Amino acid sequence: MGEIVWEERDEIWNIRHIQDTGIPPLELRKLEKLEELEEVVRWDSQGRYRPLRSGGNLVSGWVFWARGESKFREAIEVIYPGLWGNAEAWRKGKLKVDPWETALAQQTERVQKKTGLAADLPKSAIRSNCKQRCLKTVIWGGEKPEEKEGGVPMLCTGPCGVFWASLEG
Amino acid sequence: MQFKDTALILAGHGSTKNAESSRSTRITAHRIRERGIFGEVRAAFWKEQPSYTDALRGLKSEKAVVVPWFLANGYFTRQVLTREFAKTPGISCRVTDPIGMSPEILGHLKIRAARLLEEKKWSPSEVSLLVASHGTPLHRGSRAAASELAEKLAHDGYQTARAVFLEEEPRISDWRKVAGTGPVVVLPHFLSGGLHGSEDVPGLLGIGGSEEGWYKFEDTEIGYGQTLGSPDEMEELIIDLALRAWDVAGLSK
Repeated sequence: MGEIVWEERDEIWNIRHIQDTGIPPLELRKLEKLEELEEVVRWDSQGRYRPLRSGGNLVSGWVFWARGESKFREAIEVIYPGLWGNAEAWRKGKLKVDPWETALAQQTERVQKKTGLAADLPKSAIRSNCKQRCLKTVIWGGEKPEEKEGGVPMLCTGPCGVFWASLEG
Repeated sequence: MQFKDTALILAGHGSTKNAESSRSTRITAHRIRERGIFGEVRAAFWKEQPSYTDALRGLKSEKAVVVPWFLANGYFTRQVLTREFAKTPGISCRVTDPIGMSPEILGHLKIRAARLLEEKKWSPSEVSLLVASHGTPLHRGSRAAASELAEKLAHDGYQTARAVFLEEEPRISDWRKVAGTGPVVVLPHFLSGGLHGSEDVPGLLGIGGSEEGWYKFEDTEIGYGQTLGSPDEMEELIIDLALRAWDVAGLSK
């Protein structure tokens, strides 16, 4: 899923960055608490804040040990918030997508005014923002998700805070 | 008491620029989850991931209590949260009052003031007290919440106890006119992690830090209190808010 992989043995999951595949766990930073994982995913490798957790800049060098499926799911929620649920809903045919017009209407007047000055929205912003920094499939923008064996698709159901911030400049 | 069929959602604003904005909300969610009272616990945000809608979608629970991580009722709590949490089919949501409207907030402010006074061995009658809040001409909720807190704190015997604001009169920058001469205790009515409490208010007061403590200003001293919303203080308060919503809404039926 995205930039992470996991293995499960006897109800114990180990989750790590895909770049760390094959590295013995003892050589990686061991994380067991969700609060520790939260701190790791908050920053990129340069120490910059990651407001977009589905951005392709997850730092490597750690392994999270989850005892039990619920702890595993909570860990995924920390790394890629909301995306497991979106994938499940999509597989069941129940994923609701926010159309551009609806999402825009729900923004504040200030954002709507600024957005009104940009051309060719939302396509131009999807190109210049989403496709440059985010791993999600922009299904609200017309992209089609792909199901890969053993994978969990990362699906975007509507413009996010980072999308709006990119328009605000 | 356990509510295994109900999810608890802490709904904050978040920020695409400030890394501290959502930290306390997320940490508090983890702590409450560890206690096993609710079936599921999530933090969700307007500006960060997960969005309010995405947070709901992955839940196993069919009922959710949403506690707004905001200080006052206003545009977000009354319009945005109500709208966003009403639109996921199959999940019944109840949005509570925001954390800042809890009666416990007054106690948290009193503790800060008491800590500052204890440091100087002063009594309330020797200082003025200001509650520094946001305020906005667009909605009276923020102003009303801070003014009410200042009125209640006035009963403790301060020389004066008033609310001052970023975007309304009286302004925080006019604190000397409002407080008069002598030392002043300033209690930020802002959530921890935000730039208003850590940068803007100290800047307007003219003090060189945002940590709780006393700061020299010309011929007087300003005691600046800790911002609100630390996980230690919010954990119990949020559980109480959620459980009260449970009773009021009859969610247990």
